Amino acid sequence: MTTRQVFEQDLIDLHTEIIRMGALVETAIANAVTALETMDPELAAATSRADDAIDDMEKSIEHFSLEIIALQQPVARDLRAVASALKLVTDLERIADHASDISEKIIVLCSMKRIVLPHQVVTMANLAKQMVRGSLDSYVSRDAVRAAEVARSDDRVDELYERIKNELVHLMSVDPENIAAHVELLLICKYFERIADHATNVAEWVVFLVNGDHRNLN
Amino acid sequence: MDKVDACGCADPVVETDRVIVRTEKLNLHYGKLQALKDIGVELPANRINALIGPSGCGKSTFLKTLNRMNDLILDCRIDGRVYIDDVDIYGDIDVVDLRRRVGMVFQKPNPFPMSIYDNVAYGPRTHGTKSKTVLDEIVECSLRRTALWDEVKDRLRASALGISGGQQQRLCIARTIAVDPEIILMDEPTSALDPQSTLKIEDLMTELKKSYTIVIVTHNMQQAARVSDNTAFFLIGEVVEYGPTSRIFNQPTEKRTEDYISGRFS
Repeated sequence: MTTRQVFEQDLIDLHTEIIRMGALVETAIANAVTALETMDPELAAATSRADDAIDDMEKSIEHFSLEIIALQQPVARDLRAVASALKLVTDLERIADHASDISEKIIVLCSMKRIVLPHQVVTMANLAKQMVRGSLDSYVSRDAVRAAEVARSDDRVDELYERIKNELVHLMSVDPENIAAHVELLLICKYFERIADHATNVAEWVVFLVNGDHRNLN
Repeated sequence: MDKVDACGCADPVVETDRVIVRTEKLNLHYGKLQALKDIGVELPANRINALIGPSGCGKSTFLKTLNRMNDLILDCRIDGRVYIDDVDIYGDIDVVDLRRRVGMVFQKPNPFPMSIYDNVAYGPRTHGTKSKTVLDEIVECSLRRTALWDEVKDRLRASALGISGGQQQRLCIARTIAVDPEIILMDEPTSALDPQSTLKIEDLMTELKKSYTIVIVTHNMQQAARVSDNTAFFLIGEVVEYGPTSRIFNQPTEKRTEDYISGRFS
């Protein structure tokens, strides 16, 4: 078979770049979770600083994707690969932004009087982290079934968020001295809930990439 | 409605769902070589139908079966059926009338060595139109429909060979529609033209499909994607896949189609 060698290499490079960006995003969220569990302001600060590199990668991948469209004019599966790359990096960048937001809130929390973390917060944070990892794994292996499974986990995250929110509202009413800290914690949880939403989006783009079917999976 | 009278004066009648061309088990041999194998397609009226595929795949041969141009080739044997408006064109029909109803535009512009006016008037005259008033009307109408009128109205008596290649091709299209066909066959009509002239022809095709059915052979995949409503992918004499162009270029069902449209040729 005659192939388009430059184009084929471009597609491989694009795939590799997204995997590299995905690895940075995974690290960011994993560090944010660890910083939350250990209330480590230094790790939180480092996580926040790492966001700039991810922003740069997003722009670089967008530029490369547009260049491929302009120069190689992909169609069918190739076009889906480039189109999904363009969309997917936006979600990855948002996930990293939220990891950075979480880290900044952790720094604020560390400067306040220590509060006890409801145990479901860490459960939810880890679930959101697993969803990000699962969606990226499904991208690497182009596995639509795995992607759909990841998207289904979003229900569990939403459910946990609602429970945590109710618990934090209750704690605010019985412990008015720490309302500010609990508000920060609620925002952290909201960011994790949004991270799960973006992981779901990534999973949806993986399904689109594999079989051309783009729909809300959750 | 008489299409010539309607040009530029009234909205053409667009028929959306009518099948105008239908083939059944169409096989064609050049001597021992089989060029078409069991072709069965239905082409809708008032649509641009693109035929794509590598050289020698049979797409131009198929095009020529639609107005029996292959009759002129020695050793060409055809079996199966080609229906236009449910009439078998390989049955007992008037071939001259068939070629009026199914006009053809070729790869290289081929104006006759005569004036611009006479090129367009040639077909109607051959089919018996003698009135100068009627011929004037047909010529102006055809040239307007091909967006050529403003460019040549002051030199209608000048030689058609003196205008640019793009203008010559639009003149050939004007000559084709002057005899009021139903179907226009185009065999790589822009492959000899520059991008600007190509764009004009493509715009023209989109306009013409309101009144005619267009079947175009093109090697330019972007052109097929840009202008056609339906696309048929030919390979080694067979139609591998036929369907709406948006589907063919987004989600072809056949791997061979996907390989071809994405530039991976076997």
